[in-house]
Amino acid sequence: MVVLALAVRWRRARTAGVFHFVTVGRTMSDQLVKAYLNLHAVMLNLEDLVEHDPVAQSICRNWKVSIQFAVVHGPSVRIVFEKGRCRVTPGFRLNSDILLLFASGAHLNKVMENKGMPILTRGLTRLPFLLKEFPKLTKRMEEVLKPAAGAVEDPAFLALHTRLLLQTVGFAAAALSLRDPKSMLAASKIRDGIVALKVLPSGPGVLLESRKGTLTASRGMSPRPTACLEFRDVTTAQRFLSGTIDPFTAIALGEVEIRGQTPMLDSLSLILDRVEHYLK
Amino acid sequence: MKTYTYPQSRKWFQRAAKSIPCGIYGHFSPAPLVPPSAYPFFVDRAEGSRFVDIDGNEFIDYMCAYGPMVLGYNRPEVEEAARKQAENVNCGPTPGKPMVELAEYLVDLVQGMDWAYFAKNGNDVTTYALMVARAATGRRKIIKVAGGYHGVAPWTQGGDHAGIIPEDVSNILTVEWNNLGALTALVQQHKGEIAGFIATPYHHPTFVDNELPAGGYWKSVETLCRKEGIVLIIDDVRCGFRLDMRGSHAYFGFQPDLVCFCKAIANGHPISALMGSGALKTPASKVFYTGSYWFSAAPMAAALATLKLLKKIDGPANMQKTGKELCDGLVDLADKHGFKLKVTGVPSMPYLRLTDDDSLMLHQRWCAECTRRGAYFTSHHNWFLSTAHTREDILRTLAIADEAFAVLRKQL
Repeated sequence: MVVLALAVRWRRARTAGVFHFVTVGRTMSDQLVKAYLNLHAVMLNLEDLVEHDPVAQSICRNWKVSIQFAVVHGPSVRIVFEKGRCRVTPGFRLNSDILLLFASGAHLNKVMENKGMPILTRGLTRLPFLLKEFPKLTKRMEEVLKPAAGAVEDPAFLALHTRLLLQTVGFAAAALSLRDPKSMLAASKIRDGIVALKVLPSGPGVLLESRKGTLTASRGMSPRPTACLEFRDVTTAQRFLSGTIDPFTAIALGEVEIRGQTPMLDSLSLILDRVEHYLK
Repeated sequence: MKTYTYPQSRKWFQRAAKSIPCGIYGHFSPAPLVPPSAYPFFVDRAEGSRFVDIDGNEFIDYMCAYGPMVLGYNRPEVEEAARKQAENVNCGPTPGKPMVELAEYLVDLVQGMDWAYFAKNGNDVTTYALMVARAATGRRKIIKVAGGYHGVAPWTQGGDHAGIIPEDVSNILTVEWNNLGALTALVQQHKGEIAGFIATPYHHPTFVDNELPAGGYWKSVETLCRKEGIVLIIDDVRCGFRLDMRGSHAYFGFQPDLVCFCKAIANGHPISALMGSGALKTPASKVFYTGSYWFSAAPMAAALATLKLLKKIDGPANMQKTGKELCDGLVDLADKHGFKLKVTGVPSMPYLRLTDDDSLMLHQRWCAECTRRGAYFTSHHNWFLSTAHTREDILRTLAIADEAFAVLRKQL
């Protein structure tokens, strides 16, 4: 339904001859796409954060709680903390300890930017946890994803930041291939196969499987990818994914390596540009 | 066999990257060369079928500057014609006589074309062809083939590309190559709205096997366009004068309304041409379209010399023969080493691919190994032959390919 609504809006705007990207970037539908990215790409990072970051581990070590995020007529995700681990699963389950409802995509996005409050529908007794404990973890995730100046000079922090950045970009690309009109057009031109994004020499990596014009993201590496986009090191990956280097120059100099069915990467790069459009 | 390294190319690229977006941009960008470390980035000099990079490595060139070099680099007859004209005037206050002579020569040479209009690049004339088609029909929409390349103007690009807005492509429709049924259906769906159908004489996109027209395809397309009042435009920028001196439409046996030429027309001198049928001469005259250097006389003199020489030596047949010898030899060598090399397109501009690996990675490695040994092969684009490629070049290339296959086999 969301996709259909976007497509109709796109066509109408084109017919009326009033379309321009800045306007669309502020529409409600754009907010809904952004909400999908926030829940299906950004929030997914909690899993890796808890697994790889000692600071995050110390925050949630003793948590045993399940939280359901749900946007009305939009995306939902369930986050479970147990035994020092975190599991994030897209979708809706009724039996969560806490249910946080959002009236719209825009509502969720405001909350993600610390400019609003969710509607607590279940789990009133967990209110202190929601107000005091959970924000410690989301604040830590924000610190890692949007590092302060100089923070990335610490190699361990840079590695963690890059891991989360790579994952955010990969999963956001998959979400956009289903919902953002420009990304849907780009994804429709990607042949079936697996695109492997990897930080050399040994990861982390994200796989994007293309099938019939949509992308599915997963963590890890593939022994036989159809196309590869590999970063010489963590620093290069961070600069590439944050859009601070010219990709063509980086490829020519061997800082970024591409091979295989590289037209898949050409189309993917157009989708990655859209990630930046939504998540800045 | 010695393998090449490129320290000077890398040094100059790093310099370039500081003051030029991408370092080297467009179709000369090293990015599609996999891996870039196997390829030279800057040329120092060129002669005949060979070029020498700034590290002093010599290559037998199978890209021919991506098409323009057709008689060999620095072909004396062409360079002399250009030099003589430039000594009199090149860029002057009015055109020189070579413009008239070249137009007359092309009208006599190219089958069914009654006029010629000159510009600089292929994209100049493909875009002009669209404007002429729209001026002639009063219609907006253009049909092009999915994956077909007609330049870089906004109308030629995807609506999802950087710098392109939906309005740029809102009147561009696409259809599958060789699919007459789909083309007919699209024309019926937009009956009375289609100004032109633009396509290359055969389908030669990058990264995939090239496809020749199916039997009867072009004749049926011609009939459909005549019936529906659609201007049939052939983009002969890449194939022109490598298949047939009368134009590639003569080679495939049909008659378009407009034909775009560039690349091989002047052996590397900057000029392109749109040619058209008499019926479109008046609409063409109503479209205002020009450029600062479009009347430069030296490239016109070079074009005249190039075309005359190509005709005299039957350049297309010469290149087809050499290309076939090269491709047959490479296929045999691949087979000897246990690989399957597929050749598509035409022998004068073949597209090759090792089919043992659908991801192209194996093919990319083989092209890189050949290039490191002096046979300049790209893995993403069709290659080009010229009349300057000699039997000695082919034999040397086959020796290089043999060793590259052996290296590949050892690595697997």
